Amino acid sequence: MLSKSYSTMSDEDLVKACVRNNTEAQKVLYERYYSRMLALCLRYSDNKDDAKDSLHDGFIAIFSKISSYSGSGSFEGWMRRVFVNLMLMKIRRKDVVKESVNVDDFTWAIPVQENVFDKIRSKDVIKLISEMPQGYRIVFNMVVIEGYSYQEVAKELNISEVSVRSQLSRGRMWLRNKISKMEDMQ
Amino acid sequence: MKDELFDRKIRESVESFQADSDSGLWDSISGALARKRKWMFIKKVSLYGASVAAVLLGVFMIMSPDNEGRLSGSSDFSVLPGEQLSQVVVEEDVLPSQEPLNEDYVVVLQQEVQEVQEVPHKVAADIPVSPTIIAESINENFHSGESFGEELTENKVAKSSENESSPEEDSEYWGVGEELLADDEYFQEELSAPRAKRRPITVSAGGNVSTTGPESAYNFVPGPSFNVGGGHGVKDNHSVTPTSAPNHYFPVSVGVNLSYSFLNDKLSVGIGLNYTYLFSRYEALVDRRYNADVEQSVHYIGIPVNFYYNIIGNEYLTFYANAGGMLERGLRTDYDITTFSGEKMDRYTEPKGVQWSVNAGIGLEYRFINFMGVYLEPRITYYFTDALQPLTVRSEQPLQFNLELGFRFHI
Repeated sequence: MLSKSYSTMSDEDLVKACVRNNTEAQKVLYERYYSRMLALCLRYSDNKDDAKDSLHDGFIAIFSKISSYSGSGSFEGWMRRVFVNLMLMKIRRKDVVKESVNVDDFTWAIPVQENVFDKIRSKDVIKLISEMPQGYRIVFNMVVIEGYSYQEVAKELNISEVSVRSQLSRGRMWLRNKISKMEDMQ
Repeated sequence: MKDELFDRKIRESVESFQADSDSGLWDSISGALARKRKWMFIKKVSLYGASVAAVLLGVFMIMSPDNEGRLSGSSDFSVLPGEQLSQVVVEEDVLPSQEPLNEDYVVVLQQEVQEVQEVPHKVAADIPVSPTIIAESINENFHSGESFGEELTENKVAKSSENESSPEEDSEYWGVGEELLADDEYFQEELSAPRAKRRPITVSAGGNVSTTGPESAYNFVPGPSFNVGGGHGVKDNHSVTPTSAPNHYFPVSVGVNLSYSFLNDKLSVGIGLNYTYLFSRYEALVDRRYNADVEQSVHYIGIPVNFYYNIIGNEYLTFYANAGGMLERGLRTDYDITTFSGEKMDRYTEPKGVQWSVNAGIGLEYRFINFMGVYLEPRITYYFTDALQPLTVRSEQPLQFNLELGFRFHI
């Protein structure tokens, strides 16, 4: 197995090698998931520096605890969970989850055309998400991007499901408005 | 656009994000991983080292001829009364003792032996793995120092059949990452919290015991342990002259130490105050008239000066070498005497002169909280004795093995 090129290995084989502290395998996994995990960190962070710090800490956590990956789901799914929980842990430390959000900066959602996403780059969407008010951002990310249920989000953030739905709805409206404005500028 | 479609478009847009990997970030990650592996190695070695030290200490105690921590005396030792005069001054005349003698003096030292147990990393393939089980497995793996079991991965990874993940599948991992991270003390301290502030001054308090070797190792030279007067024609002749090889008990010391580190915490110098208690039993000729059993207690106060060199360590564990010396002064020597006819008496003297010693050893400190740690220092000490010092295990066995245990406060 070791003679095989690491870059062509499946995630499962790379994980096995990582368990044995193989640094080449670790680097391949890092490069394979760098973009996706960076996008995740950017979506939850206030700025790029914080996102890079979280990316650094997240990969260390992943490689340190990779032997705890059970293999019953996808490795990426496990990795995402670890990263999301790391982000939530950091957010909790800042004690900002329960911060009240400013709802005065938008009124009603402006309709968004379907083809607008053809004109907007993914990095701009991520930037917009990272600019969302913190409360909206976490709920929006967890529900829309990560696929958590309302119940899970409520439990994780220690808020009611009603609040989750409310913040998600407001988050969507906030994002729709921003995207519409961006469309207008283009 | 409906919410579902909007969400899907957002999700697709986010998922299509691409960025070139940052090689500088990878260097930082791999460096941190290497440091962590090193830390885990030190932790494991320390655990094994402490276990071995504890076993050795137990062996030392068990090898003592009786269970009281003393060596048995020789019954056929010839009586050779000493004639040497010393500078010892009698402070008190022979008086009948009002205190009953302690028949037994028991020194018991127990050291708990920690065993590192291998924790099997087995997860039955047909049993759903709950987050709790995974978290427990993580705990066990991490605390046992066996985080990277190959067998585990092969078993677990083999179960993975597809790369697609669904919320249902992923919900298995609910909370795992958080528990995983929260449980990892290295992660918490090393990566997430500010590094420990450098604290150049430490205060330590501890105690140590020294071994007593087998009787044959003693360099016992019959002579007076206590003698004043005794010149020809002098009527009052007070003396205690051992007539049998003494039974020396484990010397016990306690002390405090203040040290200051410099050269980026690589080197430290410390000075302290130390008290030592030495206890011996022997048969003696008292006042050249009585054959008696003698219990001798010697109290020393000393000033140790030591240098410490940090060999390797991190903010939790430090492995170091130390060397130095100590100047001690005998405060008092007590003799509890029971003559063979049953008469009891006691005496004491104030030893003159000083006791010099040099020592060298190694030490291991574990800082379980930021400002406090526990340390263990096995060391070899050599005592320079002279005629002014009372008969003790030091005079008969100048080379001693000490094991010191204590707490160190970093301020």
